[in-house]
Amino acid sequence: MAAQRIDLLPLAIYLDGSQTFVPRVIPDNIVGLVLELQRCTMADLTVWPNPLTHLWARMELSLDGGLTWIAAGGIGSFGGISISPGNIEVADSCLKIDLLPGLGRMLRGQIDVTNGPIRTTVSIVVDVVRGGRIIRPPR
Amino acid sequence: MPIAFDNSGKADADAVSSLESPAWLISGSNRHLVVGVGVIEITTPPDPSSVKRNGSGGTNLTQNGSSILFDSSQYRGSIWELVAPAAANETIYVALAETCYRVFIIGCSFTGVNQITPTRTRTTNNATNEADPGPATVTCANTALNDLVVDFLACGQSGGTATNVAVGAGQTERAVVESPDLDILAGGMSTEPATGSSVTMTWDVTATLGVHHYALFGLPLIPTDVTPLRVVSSPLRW
Repeated sequence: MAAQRIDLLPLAIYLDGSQTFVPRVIPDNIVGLVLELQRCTMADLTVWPNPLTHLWARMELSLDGGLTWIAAGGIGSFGGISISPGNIEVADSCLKIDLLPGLGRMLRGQIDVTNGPIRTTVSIVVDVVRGGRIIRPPR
Repeated sequence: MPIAFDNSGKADADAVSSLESPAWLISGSNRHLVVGVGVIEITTPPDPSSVKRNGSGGTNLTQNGSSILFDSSQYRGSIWELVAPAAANETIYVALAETCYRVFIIGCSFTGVNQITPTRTRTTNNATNEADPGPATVTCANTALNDLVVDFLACGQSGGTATNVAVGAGQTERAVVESPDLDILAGGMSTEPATGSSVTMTWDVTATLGVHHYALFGLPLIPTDVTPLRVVSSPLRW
C-alpha cells in the first residue's frame, strides 16, 4: 500500500485556542504515520506566515476502542519560511510516529494556536512500513 | 542491586521548536532518567530551553554540563538527567526558543542507580569532517566496577542524504534515530557495564558524502550498592 495523506484539519483559518481532531479508527495494518503541519513557502505566503504565531499539535492513541488514551507524540513550531541547511524550503513541520500494534486502534489529537490566527492544514500520512522511511506524497 | 536498563523512548521531527515523544513506561526502584537532545539548524541552534518528563507542564530535567556545538556550529548535542523520575507511562519533551530544521530526543531509564550521587563526571568528544565510515569514540577514564556507562551520540552531515549509526562492540544499543532525509541528523544511546577504571564507547557512523560530524557523551552511572565496610574488631586493652 502506498502512503496516503489524510487531512485532520482542512486548509482553513484557525483562531487562537484549541481545536480537536475527531477520533479516527486506524486500519490494523498501519504501523507508522507522519504528522504534518503545513508551513509557509514562497509558493503560498498566506499559509502560516507570521513568525510569532505558534502552533502545537499533539496526538493520542487508544488501544481499547477509545476508553483510555496514551500520548503518541507532539510537535510545536513558529510560523514563517523554514530553510534547511541545504537551502531547501521546508514545506511541513513533521513528526514520524511508530504506532503500537493492536486491533481497532483509534487516533485523536488537538492543536493549540497562540498569536494567531493561522491558515494551515494538519494532516497525517499513514504507511505500513515500520522503522523505514515513509514516502510522503506531494500535496 | 546492580544497575539495570529499564526502558527507552524517542522522537524526531523536522522544522519544530518543541517535540514530545510517545509515552513510555518507567518502573522499578532507584530510578534514573538520562535524555539526549540533538539539533541541527542553518544558523547556530539554541540550547534547549527546557527538557521535561511528561510534557510541557511536566518535571524539569537538569542539564549535565554544557551542550556541544559541532560542524561549524550547525549541530548541537546535550544531555539531561532526572533522579527518581515518577514510575509512570509518560513522555519526554524538549522546547527550543526558535524553530529548528531538525530535532531529536532520546531517553533511557535505569534502575538500581545511586539516588544521592547518580553519576560520575561525564566525558565528551566531538569531531568535524571525520572520514566515512569511521568511529565516534569517547573514553570514560573515571569508572569503577559495577558502574554502567551510558552514552549519547549526535551526528550528521550537512548536504548529505543519509547517515547510519551502529553501536560498537561490547555495548548494547538502547535507542537509535536515523534519518534518510537531506541534511540529516542522527544519533543513539547505548550502555556498557564497567569492569574497571576505564570504558571506551564507540559508534560506527556511515554517511553518504564521505564525511560526518559528531558529538559523543559518556556518562558513568553509579550503583546503589555500597561495598560494606569491613569492621575488624580487636579486644580493647586499657
